[in-house]
Amino acid sequence: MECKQWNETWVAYLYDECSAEERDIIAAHLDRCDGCRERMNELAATREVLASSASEIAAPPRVIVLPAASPRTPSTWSFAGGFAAAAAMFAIGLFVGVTWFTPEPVEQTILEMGEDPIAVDRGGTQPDPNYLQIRNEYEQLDNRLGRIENWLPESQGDSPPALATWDRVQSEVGTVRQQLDLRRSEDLRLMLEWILAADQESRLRDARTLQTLGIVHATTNPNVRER
Amino acid sequence: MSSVTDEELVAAVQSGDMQSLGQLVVRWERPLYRFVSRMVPRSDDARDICQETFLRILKRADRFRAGSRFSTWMYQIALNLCRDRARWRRRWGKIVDDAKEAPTETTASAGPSPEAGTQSNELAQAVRLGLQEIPAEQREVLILKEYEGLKFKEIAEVLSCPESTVKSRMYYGLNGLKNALARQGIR
Repeated sequence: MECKQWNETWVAYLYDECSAEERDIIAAHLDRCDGCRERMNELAATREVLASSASEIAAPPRVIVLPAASPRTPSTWSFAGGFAAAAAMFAIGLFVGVTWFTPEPVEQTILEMGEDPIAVDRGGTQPDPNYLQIRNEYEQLDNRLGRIENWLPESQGDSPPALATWDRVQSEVGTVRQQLDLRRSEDLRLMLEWILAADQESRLRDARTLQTLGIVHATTNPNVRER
Repeated sequence: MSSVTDEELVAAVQSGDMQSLGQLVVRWERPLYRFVSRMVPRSDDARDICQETFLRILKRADRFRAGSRFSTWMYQIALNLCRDRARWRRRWGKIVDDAKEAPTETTASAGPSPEAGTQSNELAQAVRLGLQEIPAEQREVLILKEYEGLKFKEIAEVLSCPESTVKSRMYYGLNGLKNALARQGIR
């Protein structure tokens, strides 16, 4: 066998992933071929540098998805909408959120995907039909973009597409991206509206609770008489 | 050592047990982040990709085939996301130099002296730059092999290509890295 045909075998030998028989053959060849021995030494040296440079990557940020009432798959929980919602909701500490941070150290991470807050009936509040429609449109656009982008790399193989095709695809991608941006903005606006409404509702409930407590306090205080 | 395998946890996720996904995250988030951080130069991209990988695992748990390895599936998902991100950056990103602007955060290597630590960091930086110089398909193999410790057969499964192709890419990748390091004055 020609020495240059051994390229794949060298690395198998280097990483000790060849059979005993192959190992013996290669070792015997290395004993008598100076060129291959030198090549193997170079491969081993490069591998050593590669391994020794494995500086530790900083601890990853953690995923925490706070649990909601009952789990289910997030088929309707589109990523961009979810991210926007999570960012806003985390700020006010409400419901389900996805956030990243870097605790030091962290023993355990809880990850549960909860109910889509929009799709959940919250005390009589129904999902906003506009939001659901926009979210569906967003997912369709996202899928379409994914299909286009996944097609592109395949088309760049041995036979690149005609320039006209390429321009058309790029134009298509640009259009879809613009539509996505519009949907994202609308997504976020609706989500903020929902949060503000929920916040207002919460404040009203607190006010009613305080009022009730005041009445209870008054009626149980012996120094207070009913007129 | 945990008694429940990754594949059993995925099966539990398929049946709606979200706690099992939590266990998978705890087991794999560090290796995954390490892998992704070496594939994409920007740390914010690496975070996004890790998050998206776990979300896709959750979303597509029903597509996981019995008899497959979870880690292979996870690396496939992450690798596709890394490729998507790199493609997006090439086409749409207005970033001048990703590697210099937002390098992946690394901790200092535990060395015997500050000088040794500095040298080690410089070497790591040189290798990181060298890896960016070789073709992506060779870089993927080098990282999966050297840093993630996968067998050639497993890498072939992740990349959906023959094992001989993986070995060939490894060979040319090591040679390419050697030349890239030489250009930086290393060996």
